[in-house]
Amino acid sequence: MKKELNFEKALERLSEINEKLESEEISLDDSIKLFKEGIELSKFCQSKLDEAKLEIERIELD
Amino acid sequence: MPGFNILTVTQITSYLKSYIDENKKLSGIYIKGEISDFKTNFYSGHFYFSLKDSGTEINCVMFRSYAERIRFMPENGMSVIVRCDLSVYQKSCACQLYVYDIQPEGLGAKQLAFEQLKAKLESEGLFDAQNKKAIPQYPEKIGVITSANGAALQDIINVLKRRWPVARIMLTPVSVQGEDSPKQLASAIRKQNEIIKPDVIIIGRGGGSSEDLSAFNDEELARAIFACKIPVISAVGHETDFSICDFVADLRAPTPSAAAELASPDINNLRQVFDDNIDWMRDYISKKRDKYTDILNNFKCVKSGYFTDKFGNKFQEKLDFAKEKLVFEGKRVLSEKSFQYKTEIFRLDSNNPAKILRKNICKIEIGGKTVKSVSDAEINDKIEIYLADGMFKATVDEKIEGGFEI
Repeated sequence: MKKELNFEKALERLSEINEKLESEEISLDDSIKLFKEGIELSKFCQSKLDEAKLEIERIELD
Repeated sequence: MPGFNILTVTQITSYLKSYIDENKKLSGIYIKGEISDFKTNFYSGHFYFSLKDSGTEINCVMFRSYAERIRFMPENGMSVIVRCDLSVYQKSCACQLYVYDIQPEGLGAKQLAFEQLKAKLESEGLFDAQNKKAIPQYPEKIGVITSANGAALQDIINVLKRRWPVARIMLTPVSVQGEDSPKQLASAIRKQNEIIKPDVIIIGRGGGSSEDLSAFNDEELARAIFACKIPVISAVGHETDFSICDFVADLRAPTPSAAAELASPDINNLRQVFDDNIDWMRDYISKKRDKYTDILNNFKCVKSGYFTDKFGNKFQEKLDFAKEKLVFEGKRVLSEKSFQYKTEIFRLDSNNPAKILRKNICKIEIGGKTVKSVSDAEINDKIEIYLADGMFKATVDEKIEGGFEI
């Protein structure tokens, strides 16, 4: 399912993870797994945002 | 009445006539008087008039053969001297004058004739400026009407040779004075007009007495010139002489030399004009060439530096604007996404399982299922109690339902 990850999909998935984590029915093991996935996704999103910011700055200076 | 010598009316009239006619004192006499009752018979051409003074008057007749020679037209009220014979008109036994010549008193006859002819032709419009033809600028053929051996012809030839040697001079030789001269002049004009057909005609002669120049005051000549379709330049005598020919011609020249100058351009001036024209054309062509070279160069510039010239600037502006907008939109989207991201990160952080357990909260599960209510577990069920730093495995000993009061 995760063929091409992009910022939007990552953010969507992060929101989904938060949703699940907040549901309380989840087991601790699952919540840890999801939390780890959320951390990975947030890293990905951060890097995408950084890239975009750099790109805009480059255009602005061009 | 015996003893009387009785005569008839005719006999006495005849006698009177012969008596008067034989008297030499009454023939070839000059009589001064004022013309009145002037009549001319259209068919016979005779003149009939009276000569009068304050005292009396006398009938006059002038037969056509004499009347034709008069250069002016007698008019009533005119003071004249007539040369005549006195005789008797037998039919009415009237004494009358048989006139041979009429001289106007005061003005000379020629002068009067001149003035009269001038006034007549003028009233007919022969001198009108609107009828004057323009003299051609560059004549190929120049007609000349003058004496073949006069100085006027030499003057004309000399001027034309110097100024306009390319023109052909077409001479119609005439006698420029004498009785036959006016007819020759008029027929020469007609010949030039109808047969020779030059571009311009010079008619004239050199200076002379007013008698010498009088051939150019002829009515027939004037009418021939007026009818001539070719422009005529008249040059009769000197600058101070004016002739009828001068008035009716399309242009009057003071002398024959001047006529030749008026009839021709100066070839040297023309050469100068040509040279100037050639210079001008050269100048014009080189200016044109420079102009088109400039246009071509401009075009090349446009082609090579499309975005740097004035056309390019427009696109540059558009491009700059588009870029600004792009950057602005990019930043807006970025901040929006950053916000969404930060929200999720914040949520994630608050959902950190380790954090939850650290807040003196424990999590109870039975076989991986969260226990949320006392009803979820029964006595003796094995339960797992998670804390921040570890866990218990325990068994439910007792179950008490009902919430805690806060």
